[in-house]
Amino acid sequence: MENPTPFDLNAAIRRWQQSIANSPAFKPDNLEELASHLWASVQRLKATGLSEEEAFLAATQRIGERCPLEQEFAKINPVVTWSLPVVSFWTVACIYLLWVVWLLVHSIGYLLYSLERGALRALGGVAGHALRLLTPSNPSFLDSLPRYWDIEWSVVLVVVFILVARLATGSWKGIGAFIGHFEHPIRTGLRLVLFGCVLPFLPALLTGFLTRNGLGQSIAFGCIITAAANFVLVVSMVLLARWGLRNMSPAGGPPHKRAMRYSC
Amino acid sequence: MLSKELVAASTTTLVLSILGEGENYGYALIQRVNELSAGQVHWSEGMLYPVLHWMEKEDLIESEWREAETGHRRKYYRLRQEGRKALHTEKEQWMAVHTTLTKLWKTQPRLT
Repeated sequence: MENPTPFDLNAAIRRWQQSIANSPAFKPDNLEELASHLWASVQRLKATGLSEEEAFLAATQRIGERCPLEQEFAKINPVVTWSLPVVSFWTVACIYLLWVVWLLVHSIGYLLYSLERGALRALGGVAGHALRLLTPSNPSFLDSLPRYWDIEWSVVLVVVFILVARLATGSWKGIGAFIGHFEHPIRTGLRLVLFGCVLPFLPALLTGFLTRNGLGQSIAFGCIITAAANFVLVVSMVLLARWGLRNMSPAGGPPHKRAMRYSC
Repeated sequence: MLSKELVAASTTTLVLSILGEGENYGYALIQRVNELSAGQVHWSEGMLYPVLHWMEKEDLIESEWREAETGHRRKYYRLRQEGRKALHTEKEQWMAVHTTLTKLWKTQPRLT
């Protein structure tokens, strides 16, 4: 008896694609490539005398079960779960970034504060007013230290950081790959110390040279305190990175030599 | 059939060598290696595609989606400069192993 609905290969391939599409281990490009593979495989099998439907069934069987395929692809598209370690890691990373941004704003504020007194007053003008809204009126690092920990800043930065990661990677799943950059926590930690301890203080140190009062001294003292606190933050971040990301960042080396880490 | 370890050790070298013949796509790579090894080397799809994407990330190869003569879109891979260099090194190393084993296996019967 004739089959009333003829087999539609393209629709069958699409259905197969959809059946695995909900896994975070596959990117759209991977799904398209697997579909293209399936199509080529069906053509080859048809040439051996199988019907299109039989060829399709044989081709999907050759690709195999969803789970092993998912595990292999998860090695190159790391799957992130928002577990406690990951959230803690990002929170500390965000606090650190908040710290750096805040220090930079302070530092520039001090520079402009000192410039306003001198010949370069005009340069400090508009930008100085804008920045002074964010900086304390008392130009002392020590007095404003507790403000670095303002919780609302942390929340804002966590959100901004996640959104930036989303934009940078193009997908929520891609944030996993983004986290993958923290694969070497020690190297990352050292880079962050440099970033957090040197960069924000350049304008402030310049201020030290420009001012002729005790401000430079107070800034130098503030720098030491900040560098020490920075160190504690970075070390905790490194430890968290090691603890939390050990099982989800892509390991080095080619994927076929890596151990399975994804369970489905 | 080759052991799992040997398949793992030879995959990138084989991919580089096949792409050294000219650009190709995933399915054809599997067919080609199967044909050349007379079925001794079997690559699964789940193993090959992640390896290709990793090699692309490492700048050894590059890819491009193109319409094939059949009218279907295919992702073609080709060697990059880095890949050619890697292939050269791999060739030297595999040849060293090959030469050593050949010498050993050829001279052994004469010693008896």
